[in-house]
Amino acid sequence: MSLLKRLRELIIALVTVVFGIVLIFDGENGQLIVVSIICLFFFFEGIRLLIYYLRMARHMVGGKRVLISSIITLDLGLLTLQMVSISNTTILLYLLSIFAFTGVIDILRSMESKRHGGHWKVKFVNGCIYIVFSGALIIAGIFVNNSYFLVCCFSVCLIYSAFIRIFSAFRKTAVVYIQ
Amino acid sequence: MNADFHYYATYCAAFLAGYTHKECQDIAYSDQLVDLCSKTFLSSLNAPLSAATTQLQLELMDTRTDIIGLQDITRIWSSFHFLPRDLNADPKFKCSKGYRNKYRLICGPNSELLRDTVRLAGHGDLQSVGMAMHILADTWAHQHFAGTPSLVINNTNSYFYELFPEGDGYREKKLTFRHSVSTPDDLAESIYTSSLYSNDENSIMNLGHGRAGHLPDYSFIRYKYLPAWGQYEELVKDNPSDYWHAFCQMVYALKCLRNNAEKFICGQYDEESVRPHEDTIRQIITKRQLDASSDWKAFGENLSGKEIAPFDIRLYHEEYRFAPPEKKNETFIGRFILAALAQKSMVTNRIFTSGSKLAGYSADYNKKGFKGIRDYKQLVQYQGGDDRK
Repeated sequence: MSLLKRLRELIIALVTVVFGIVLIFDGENGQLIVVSIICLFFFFEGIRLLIYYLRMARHMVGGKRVLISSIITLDLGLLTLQMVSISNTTILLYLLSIFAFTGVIDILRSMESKRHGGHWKVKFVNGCIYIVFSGALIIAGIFVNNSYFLVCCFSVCLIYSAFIRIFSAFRKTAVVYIQ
Repeated sequence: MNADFHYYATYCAAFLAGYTHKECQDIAYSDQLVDLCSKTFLSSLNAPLSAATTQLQLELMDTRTDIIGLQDITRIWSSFHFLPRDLNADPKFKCSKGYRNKYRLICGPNSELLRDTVRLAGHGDLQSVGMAMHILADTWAHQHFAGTPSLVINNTNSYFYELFPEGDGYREKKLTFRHSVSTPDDLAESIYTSSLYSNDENSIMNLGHGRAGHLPDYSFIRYKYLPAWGQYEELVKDNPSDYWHAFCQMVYALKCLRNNAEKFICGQYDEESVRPHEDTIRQIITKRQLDASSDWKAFGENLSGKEIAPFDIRLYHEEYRFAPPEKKNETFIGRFILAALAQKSMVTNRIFTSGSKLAGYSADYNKKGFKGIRDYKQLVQYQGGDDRK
């Protein structure tokens, strides 16, 4: 990774951490902020797809599909804005699907690693935690209907991904070549 | 290509090139190990993870597709399974640098990189030789796909027809793809398993020939399709012909490696040595079956008069695990690891110096000293360098 890219990763990570902390402490507007983030995500994803079409996918067989996707994603961004008035169940399902999927993959990976005689316990526990976390989300969202809890979960995810970025930014990545 | 070609056919090619039975077994074992030496496998041995030559399906699903993850994937798949045909190639149309860099990673036979791979193997042990044969064979089977996740290069659409020889021409039959990994391919109905469509450029679904399923791995099949990069030009893939060339080129390369690897040049095939066995080989190659191992095994045993032991991934496990640290490089797996690090280092350097960072950064030891991933210290030390430099 070039120095500039490392710096960029670091700045994005630090901004994400700050953002995650602000979210935790500003619970009242938390749900609105989370929906805004998802809305912005779709908006920028739509723009990104459009640029991707112009730079690369237009040369590809069936590349028009990417163009259509970009327009639909942009529309989805606008649609998400309307979600503020809808119950937080939709957001819950979105977060839940990510957690549960990650958990299942971690458990499968740990089992695979175990079969090969490798390290597996940490990954297995990690997967279980994700799944338990998803269960907690269901209880919180559906039975308790506590939106602040959801916002906190989202913030924890943001902070976690920020730390992964920081870790990646400091890793040595060059492959040594001997002539 | 599968174990049938990478293990048993390689054994046959090595024997025809003049190696002894034991040497043939070691070469074939190293060839097949390339498809199994994943980070999971290496972690079970406490071996350097940078020596991984493949990624398991779940490993891929677990890999982050951020820049570092993508570079790691590209290093592994471009170095060992999809050796780029031409790192200076330009598409016929005007395109962005991002597109061009991916286009240049499209795999194909008889490349400069192949020549360098064989010559590099000439400096190593039988493990390097086996590894080079894996890479060589895959340049034929995996051609037209790139060893990096890319929708714009590796995607395919529903336009896929299997070609059956009939009279002077071919009869076409539409192929169907499904996405159930656990279900074996149905040869009778021409139903094959492929990866799911994903419109994410860097999705692992778009790595290598995933979108075309295992078709490139079957020696008997002929088919036509529209590659994503091909500007709607139909491409006919004739696997029996490609596998025949791969086999003859392996015999030629192995002979060079026995004598003088520097003499290896691309586009040469030792058809003369293979000719007496042409009927048998063509019969095996064109036989419609999912696994040709038993046929290749019988052919190999007929050639050498010795039994070929089935591949056992744990064969050299204990030798490596219980070797003292200073002796690990002398074990079978230790030598394989060194060969893998050397190959990955060479291919990454070539891609990097072509102006593409898709496989990551390459730090030239002779110019900059040791600046990079710690695992490569082992390679530096083995080649007589000073890792404190």
